[in-house]
Amino acid sequence: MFLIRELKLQTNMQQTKIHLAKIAAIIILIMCVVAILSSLGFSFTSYSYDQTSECILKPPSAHHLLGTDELGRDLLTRIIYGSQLSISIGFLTAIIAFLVGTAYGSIAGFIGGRVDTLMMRGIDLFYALPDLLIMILIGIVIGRGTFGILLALGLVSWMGTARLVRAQFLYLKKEEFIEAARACGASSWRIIVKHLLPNAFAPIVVSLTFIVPSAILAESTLSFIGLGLSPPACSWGTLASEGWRALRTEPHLILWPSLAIFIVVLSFNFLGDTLADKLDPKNKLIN
Amino acid sequence: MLNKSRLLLLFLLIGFAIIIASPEGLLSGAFSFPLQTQQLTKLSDKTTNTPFAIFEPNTLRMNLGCEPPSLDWTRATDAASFDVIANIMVGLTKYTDNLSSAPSCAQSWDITDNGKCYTFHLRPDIHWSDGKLLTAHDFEYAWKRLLDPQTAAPYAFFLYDIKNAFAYNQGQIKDPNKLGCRAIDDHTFVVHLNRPIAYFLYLTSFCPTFPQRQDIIERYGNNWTNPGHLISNGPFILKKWQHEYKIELAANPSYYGQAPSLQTVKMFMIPEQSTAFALYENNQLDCIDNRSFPTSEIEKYRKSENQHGEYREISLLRVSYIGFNIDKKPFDDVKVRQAFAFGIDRERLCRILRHGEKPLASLIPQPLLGSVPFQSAQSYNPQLAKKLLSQAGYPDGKNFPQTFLLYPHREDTRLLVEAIQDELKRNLNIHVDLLNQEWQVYLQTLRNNTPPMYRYAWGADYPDPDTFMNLFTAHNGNNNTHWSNKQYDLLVNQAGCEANPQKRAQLYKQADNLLCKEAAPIIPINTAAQNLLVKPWVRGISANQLDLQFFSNVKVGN
Repeated sequence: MFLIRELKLQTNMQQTKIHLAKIAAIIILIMCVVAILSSLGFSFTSYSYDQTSECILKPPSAHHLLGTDELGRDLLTRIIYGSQLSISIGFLTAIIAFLVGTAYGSIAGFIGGRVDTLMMRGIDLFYALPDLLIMILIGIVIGRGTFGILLALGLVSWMGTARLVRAQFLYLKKEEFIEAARACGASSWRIIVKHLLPNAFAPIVVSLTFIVPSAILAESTLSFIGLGLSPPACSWGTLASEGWRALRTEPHLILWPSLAIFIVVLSFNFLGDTLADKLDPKNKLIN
Repeated sequence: MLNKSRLLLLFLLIGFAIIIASPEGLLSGAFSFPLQTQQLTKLSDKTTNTPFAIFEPNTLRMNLGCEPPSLDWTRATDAASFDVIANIMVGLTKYTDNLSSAPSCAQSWDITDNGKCYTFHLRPDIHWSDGKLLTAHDFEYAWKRLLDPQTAAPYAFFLYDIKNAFAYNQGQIKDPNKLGCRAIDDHTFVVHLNRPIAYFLYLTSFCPTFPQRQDIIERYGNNWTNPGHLISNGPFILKKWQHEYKIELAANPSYYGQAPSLQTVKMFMIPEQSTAFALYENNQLDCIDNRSFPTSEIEKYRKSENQHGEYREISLLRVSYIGFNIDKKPFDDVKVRQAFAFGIDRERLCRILRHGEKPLASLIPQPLLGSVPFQSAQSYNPQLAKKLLSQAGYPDGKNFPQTFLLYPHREDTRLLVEAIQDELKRNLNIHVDLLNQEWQVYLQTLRNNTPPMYRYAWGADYPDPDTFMNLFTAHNGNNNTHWSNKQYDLLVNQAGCEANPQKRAQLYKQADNLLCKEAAPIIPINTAAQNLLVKPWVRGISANQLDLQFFSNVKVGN
């Protein structure tokens, strides 16, 4: 009796979670579409992102739905423009983490033995380096710009994926279907690409959904402390950093970009969470 | 992974909560600052309708914004240090409220030899705070120390017009006794100048030329500026110096002039504008200026009429300009520089900056001699700018080489250069990259590897056009433009020695025209303004255009 109620409760919670994840996915989809359209030159407002005007620091109004900034630029336009960078940085970092992490993890996991130990110590080394410091150093050496930010973020984000892939490989390579493939004379490359990777794919995807929001946040942090893009280009982080000084008198300057960051990060986290549940083999019992 | 960045999320969340919950009472009370509350006096102030006005009787609390780098007045260069020194020391002469020179340690002076020889007669009754008599030898020692190459004082140039001073400071003359400044006896100080500069008595009113005690400096070495060691002769003495926290001044009982009404001046070192501003609103600071006054709040105070007259705005003798490195392409072409000058709407920049800045047409700000009133039509002309640019070979900004503008890492300069970037894009279709550096790095870059464009600001050391105009003479260490012009040097030199104000103004106008219009190695942008907030119980804050604050006449109380 108790067990059934418990199970029901869990199913209800699962249902809510799935609904939330659906909403999150829709939000992310809309944001991505907006970002892509705006990078293709489609303008959602009647202003351009660096178009200044005499309306300096005006609160939200009919002309400027989210208000204007210190140079009289329309904030909504800038947030939409900023989404290009913030979202693409998120995805690109995930891709870098995927490529580097998977390659590194596959080699370590597949070869195993001494190579594996050595490579894992390498990862420990990277983990020990303070993220923010690395990002600041790269920002200083390479200079402000998308490339520097991407490199910095990529450099500190791939280790988790690498560990995950290695663990999956270590576990999978002892499975019978791998033995079978080997017995058929498949090359190492074929085994990795055709057999191991597809089977390790689910956890990798889940880990990537968590890298996207953390990269968006990290980019915002970098921009917030002044190491982000060079003006007039902007991301949500630079917008927030321009706004925080006027927190008391012009709260709209920091409110909207922060809200954008908040919503996207939250959506990704909901989505990732539900994906993890869905793809976790243990949960199949309940479903 | 990237855990630190999640902190930002948390921060933003808290930010929302605070904004949504209480837009008005956001910061008040959010910061606690170690002030001894038992010393605070509560009283109800009927005249100003502030029922819980809180102040400390006869104590002024202000914010320096940072630790003063040096209280040694031969070495100090920055506002925080000068704020302290100007209140604990007096020199031969002093500034009056309208910035003319009045007798101070010197009760009178004779000017002979066509303005090239000054004989100062010192008051016989001035004592240092340890009771010792102030003599002309203290001045002689201080001035020789200022010029000594060993001291490496940044302000040594102040006295370069004294006979042999430049050669001595450069190490060409080794004997300090060859310098043209000498104490004849305890009360007579004679100065021989190379040329009859018209502004010499301003120099004797400012910190670098204040007297110093040889015995104290030799006894304590570099520690002589510590409280207890530092001996001064001004209205206040240095009582406490808690590093990175506060400096406390106390009234000097042996001051020769009228004893100040204040017993204590507390100078805090709060770097965060918003923190300092919250303290002011909480009655824990009595007066604040730009260092503690967030821009967005200035607007609010300026507009509102019921703030008990707390707000004041003072236009400063401080000029911000864009400099070009005229050795670097494309700014080796004078037409490009002129095009940039005509392509920037300075009035709009001032509206964006919002501190009360005023646009500038000349390097000399008003109301100094030779200043040119700003007229928009003559300074801002996008059509002419475009024409000049196409004459230089870049019609509509086409093929314009990639270039950048260097600026120091500060919030208000960021806004200014972003606005300039926008102006150039809009009016000339030229994109200029922006590059910022920390203050010290930025200064080094300017000296050693001057960028194609840079933003700089210069505050007057004395209320005379010379302080600005000599910046761009060929041998001035602050002329980073690599521009030099014999005619300009001649004009500035001539004007410096001219006694007749009309003729001086004329000469400066000619030199200024050469600098800002014809050759245009710089574009003057605006003069700065100081924005003050002073609590109603503080009277007598004298804010002047040099941005020096004197507290000897300030009263705190009802």
